[in-house]
Amino acid sequence: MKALTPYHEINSLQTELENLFNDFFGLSERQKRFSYRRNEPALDLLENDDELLVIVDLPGFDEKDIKLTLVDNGLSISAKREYDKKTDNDKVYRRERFSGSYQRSIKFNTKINRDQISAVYKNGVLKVKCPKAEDEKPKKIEVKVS
Amino acid sequence: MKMLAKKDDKKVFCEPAVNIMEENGAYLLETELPGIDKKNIQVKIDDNTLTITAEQDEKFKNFTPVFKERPDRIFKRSFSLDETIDADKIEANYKNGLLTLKLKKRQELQPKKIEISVDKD
Repeated sequence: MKALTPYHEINSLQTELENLFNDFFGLSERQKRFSYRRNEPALDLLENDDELLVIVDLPGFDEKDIKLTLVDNGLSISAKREYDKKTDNDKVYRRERFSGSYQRSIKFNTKINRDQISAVYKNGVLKVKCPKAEDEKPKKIEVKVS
Repeated sequence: MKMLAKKDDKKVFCEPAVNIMEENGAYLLETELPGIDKKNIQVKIDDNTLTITAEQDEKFKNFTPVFKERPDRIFKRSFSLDETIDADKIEANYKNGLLTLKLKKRQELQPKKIEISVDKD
């Protein structure tokens, strides 16, 4: 197709340079694996004293297509997207976006409070807040002067 | 999404995944831009080149990362447009992390129906 052509991987030398660059700046193996059509969405895990925060990239879903399950002491996230059904008159020139089932699981090292988990989907990103179980939170011990 | 290079210590350039389709005589360009606020998305046309730039601006105060696969990113991708596309009539819509651009073909290139009037005498 001529009308709309992506500039993309112009030549292999550029790709080589990028890889060199990435190696130099020490991206992780997983980060290097980033490519189109992955069925494992990228995920961040953050924490503070009180809670764990899981952030997952799930662009272009309806919230009803995202399933979040609590398993053991972890989360299982899945999302499904079918190929857009197009009529015979419509043409597809490029399909890099992943279609099918996304699946990702994460296990926490910290015990979480199973009843207090909350999840929000916004701008194609799922954020799950998991409060830590009471006995996992750091406790302040007062020091008294005798 | 494809990682390209790092801009500085924090942000990483990424090439977002796209789908390109033709539907009802218009091109649809879908670009995955997860976690971007609408105000941080830029679509620019310069000399028949359409460039999409989106900068992630996420801050989680009081949280420390345990592990991160989603670096702070700048999504950037360019496309060359040919003369069949009407650059003045591009519609953009961002929903759930997906930017959809509708690029219409120029009016004079659209199939046109010509009415035939019948003389009644």
